[in-house]
Amino acid sequence: MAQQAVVFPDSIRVVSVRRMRTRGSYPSCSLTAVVVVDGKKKVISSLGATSDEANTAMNGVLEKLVSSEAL
Amino acid sequence: MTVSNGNILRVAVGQVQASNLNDLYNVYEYIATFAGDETDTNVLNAIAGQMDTMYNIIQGTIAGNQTPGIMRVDEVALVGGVKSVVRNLGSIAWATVYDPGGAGDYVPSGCAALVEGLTSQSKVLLKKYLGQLVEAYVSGNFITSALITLLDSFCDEWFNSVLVSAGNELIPGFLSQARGGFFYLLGTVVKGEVAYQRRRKPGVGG
Repeated sequence: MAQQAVVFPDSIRVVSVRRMRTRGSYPSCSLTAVVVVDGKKKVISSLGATSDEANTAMNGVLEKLVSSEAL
Repeated sequence: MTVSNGNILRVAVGQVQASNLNDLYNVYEYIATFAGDETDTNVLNAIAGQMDTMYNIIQGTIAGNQTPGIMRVDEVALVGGVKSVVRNLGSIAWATVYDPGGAGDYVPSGCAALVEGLTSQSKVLLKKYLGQLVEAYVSGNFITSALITLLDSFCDEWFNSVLVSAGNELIPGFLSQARGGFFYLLGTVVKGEVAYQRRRKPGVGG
């Protein structure tokens, strides 16, 4: 299990979460989540050299989304 | 017997529902990327450890009427273009830590959370129906954000290679008969909608 997991808040309905990773010498991870805010779909994403980095970045995006939408 | 580099393994992870005695299976496939041969026992234990870790992540969401059962591992290959079981490595109990016991009532046994594995081929999709869920993690037609959080961690663990020993790894993917080869797992998708498997409906199938 990744040390830093993505935490999707209960106030956001998540339609899907896509995680793409590469193996080998140049690992990377990208996360894309489709969420519903105020009845509208939004796509949010994050990137990282590791899974942990991408997860941390996604958590930052989610925090911003929650605070900006005052969910 | 031993497993050699390039061998492809199919892993059927079973659970039994005490409520209706239906068996729930999830099937995973791996290709051996080995520097040297490994004994079947070492391979079985390594895979069981991986499955135990994966399912332990979601154990709080799975109804307590589930009993982890046996994990069967077969070596598979394309024989004359047909996907075939070459030999059976064995069957062992796979859950040491995993102990499902989600609180409260559960959803109908046909309902499940769905995660999909992506490969380089758009039509080679690895679907895993995870259940039997407890109601607390389902809201209307959708699973909750809390469960999506856990399933994303589950997928992250699934993606990890199974380390049998130094230099000997099992990499997840799928042997496709239609496409004539093994395709690595490149990504995962957690679906927000509740999925359904009719074969798990009580009274249907075995």
